[in-house]
Amino acid sequence: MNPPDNNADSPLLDALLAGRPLRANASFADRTLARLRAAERDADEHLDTLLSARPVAASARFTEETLARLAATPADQRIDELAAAQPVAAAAAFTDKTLGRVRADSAPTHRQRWIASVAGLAAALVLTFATVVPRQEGPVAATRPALPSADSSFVPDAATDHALSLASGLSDAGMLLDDDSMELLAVLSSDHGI
Amino acid sequence: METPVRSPATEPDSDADLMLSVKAGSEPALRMLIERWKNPLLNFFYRSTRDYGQAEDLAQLTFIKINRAAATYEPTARFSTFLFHVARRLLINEYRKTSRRPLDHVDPSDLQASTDDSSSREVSEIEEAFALALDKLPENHRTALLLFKQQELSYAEIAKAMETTESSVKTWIFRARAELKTQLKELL
Repeated sequence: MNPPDNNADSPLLDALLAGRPLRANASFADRTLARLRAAERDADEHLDTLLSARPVAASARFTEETLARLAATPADQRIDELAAAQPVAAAAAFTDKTLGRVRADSAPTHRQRWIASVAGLAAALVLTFATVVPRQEGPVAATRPALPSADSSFVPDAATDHALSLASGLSDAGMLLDDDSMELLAVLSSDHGI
Repeated sequence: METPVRSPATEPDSDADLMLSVKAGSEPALRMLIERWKNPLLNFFYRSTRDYGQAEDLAQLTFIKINRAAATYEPTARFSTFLFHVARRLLINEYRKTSRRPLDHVDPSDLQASTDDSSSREVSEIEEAFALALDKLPENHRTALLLFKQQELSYAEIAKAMETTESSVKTWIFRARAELKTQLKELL
């Protein structure tokens, strides 16, 4: 392969070497005009694109509303204006007052707090003192609290009755108490009003 | 005096996103919802009850209900539809309660005092007549018209909020307009 001919004619180099200023050749004007026309055409196309764009869409009920307005009498229009009016504005404190009511509504009631605290205390007592017997599929009579039968003459005192209720609730929740735990619950119920 | 209040019902439904934040326990999101919707709700109730205090109470109750319902909220429809569904249920309950309630004894001096308080609102004759005429409409006609014109909900949204069909909504709005036109013919 032949090396590149570094001495090939170059109009610019020739002009510089000859000390002559570079002159535009005959096609310069044509090329410039062509570029100007192309730029103009691009601008026109851009403008057309912008003009033909539809940046917003009419709402679904636009046609319906337009037809209704064409058919509407002044009385209809006045009624629509009145119906659309929003004659009052909320007071400045409205938001804070509303949030206050929302908070009050979300806060637990006294009764809910009492139930939660009693349930929590009972559960804590059971976990601390009592023997928790896992529920078994087999006979569980020995581990169930000895609840009096309907025909029994046994009449529990208030504390024992309360302890039986608690034990029954815990039993329903999946925990069974032995006799010692029952007795302890009865004592706690009596002494501390649990 | 009329206060121009723009309804947010025509804006993109960012309220559903706010409601999901409320569901996650955000109080600032609830505050924003209240700020956006307090005036539309207040005006809806005011037009329906003609009592500013009652309207304010019902608007606050609506937000309490909305907060309660947040835990199970799913954005299956526009928030405005959900909001006015809750608002209308409250309004209907209020009508039922009011209809069972014996007439309150009104002390004439109290009436005078309340008249003085409201005088600043400059209720015009036509406005008063319109409010009275609106009050005489059946609840569903009035609510449909208010949701359509005042809250700018679509027929489909109103139908969903009122648990009915679009054709019923159109009929109710037509009848509401016709009735109002008849009642107000001397003034229009």
